[in-house]
Amino acid sequence: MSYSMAILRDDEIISELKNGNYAKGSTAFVRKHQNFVYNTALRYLNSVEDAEDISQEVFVKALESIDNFRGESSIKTWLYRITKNFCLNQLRKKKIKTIFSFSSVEDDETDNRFKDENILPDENMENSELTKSFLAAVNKLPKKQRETFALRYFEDMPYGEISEILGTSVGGLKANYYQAVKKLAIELQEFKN
Amino acid sequence: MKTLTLKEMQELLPDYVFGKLENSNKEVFEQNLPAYPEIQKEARDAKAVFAKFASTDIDAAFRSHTRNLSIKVNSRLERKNRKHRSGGIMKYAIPVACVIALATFMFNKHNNTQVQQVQRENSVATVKTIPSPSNVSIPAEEHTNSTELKNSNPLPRISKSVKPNSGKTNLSVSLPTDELLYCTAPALWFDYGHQPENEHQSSTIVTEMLNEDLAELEAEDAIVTDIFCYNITYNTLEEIDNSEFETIIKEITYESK
Repeated sequence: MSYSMAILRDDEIISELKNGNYAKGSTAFVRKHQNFVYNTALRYLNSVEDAEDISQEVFVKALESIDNFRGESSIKTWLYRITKNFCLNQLRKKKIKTIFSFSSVEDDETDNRFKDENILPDENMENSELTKSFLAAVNKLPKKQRETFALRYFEDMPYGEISEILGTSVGGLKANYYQAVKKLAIELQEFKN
Repeated sequence: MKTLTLKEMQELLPDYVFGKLENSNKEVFEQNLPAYPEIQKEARDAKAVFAKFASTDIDAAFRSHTRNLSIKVNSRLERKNRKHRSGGIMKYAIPVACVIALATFMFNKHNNTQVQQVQRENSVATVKTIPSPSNVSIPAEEHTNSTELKNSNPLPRISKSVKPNSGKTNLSVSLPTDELLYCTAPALWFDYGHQPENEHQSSTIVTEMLNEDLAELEAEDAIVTDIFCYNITYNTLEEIDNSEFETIIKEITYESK
C-alpha cells in the first residue's frame, strides 16, 4: 500500500520525520492536515489564493520546526496556532497596504466571507450552492462563535483542545457553540428538510 | 433521573443535534427535554436544517484547492534547503572575501607607502651617488688621487684633485653639458649681480647664497624640487671643511677674474 493512502497517526508521522524518512513523513503530514489548515486560513483570510499560499507557508514552517514540537498539545492545536499567526500577519500586511493605497479597510468581523466565486467548484451545482450558503452563514457568525463552530463541527475537536486553542473556558465554548447552532438554524431555515 | 438546568440543556443541544453526545448524556438530555419546550423546538429546527447539510461534503468542496499541496510544500522545502545550503556557503565566503580584499588593500597601501619612502630616501641618496657624464675642470690640471666632494647625475659634482708630488690642490666641477653655463664662476657672480672685490667678499657672498638656498630647501621639507641647488648647497656644506671651502672660494675668485 502506498504511504499516501495510509492514514498515519500523528505520532507515527512525527517518528517518520525524526527518523529521516522525510519525504514520506512530510507527505503524510500535509495530506492529513491540509483541509484543516486550509479551512482555518480561509476563515481568517477570505481569499482562496491567500489561503493556499498561507497553507503552504504553514506546512513549511511546521515541518521545519517539527523538532520543536514537544507533544504537550495535539498537532492540530499546534498547527492552528501557526496558521492563525500567519493569517493575522497576512491581514496586518493587507491592512497596511490598504491604508497606504487610501482604500477602505474591511471590517474583519463583518466582511462577507466566501463571496469569492472560486471558493467552491461547480462540479455539482446544487451541492455547491448549498455548501456556499452554509459557509456564508457560518462566516456571518461572530468570530468566537465561528471558530468554535468550525473547530467542533468541521474538525470534530474536543472542547478541551478548542479551549486551549481559543483561550476560552469549556463552559464558554459550549455557550458559544449553542449560540452558533441556533443562529445558523435560523439563517438557513430555507434549506429545512 | 438527573435534572438539568436550561443552561446545561443549551450546552448539550448542539452535540445532541449532531449526534455527538455520549450515550449517558444523551439519555439524561432526552429525559429532561419535555421540561424545556423551547429547547425541544430548537433541537427540532436545527436537526431539520443540518440534516440537509450533513450530505454535503465540505472537505470535498475544498479538495481542489488543497490538491498537490504536499508536493508544493515538499518542493518549497527543497528549494529552501538548497538556498540555505548555498546561502550557508555564501554566508562565510562573502566575509572571508571581504577580509582578504581589505587585507590586500591594506598590504598594498602599506607597501606603496614604504616604496614612496624608499624612493624619497633614494632620491636624496641618488644625488650623492650617481656619477657625472662630463667633467669640467675649473683650474684644468691633472686629476690624480681624486677625492670626490660631491657627485650626482645629471647634477654637477665638485671634485678635489691633489697632485702627488707638488701637493697642489685642484677643484673640478662635473656637469651635464646643458648645465655648464650656469655653473661657472662668472655665472655665479652674474646671478649675484656684481663680481666681488676680493676673496673675503667672495666667501661672504657664497656663504650667504648657500645659506639662503639651504633655508629654502629646509622650508620645503627636503622635497628637492631643484636638485641642482640641493646638490651644490647641501653637499658642499656637509662635506667640505673650512680650509677646503676657503680654497674653493679662492679658486672661484681667481677664475672669475
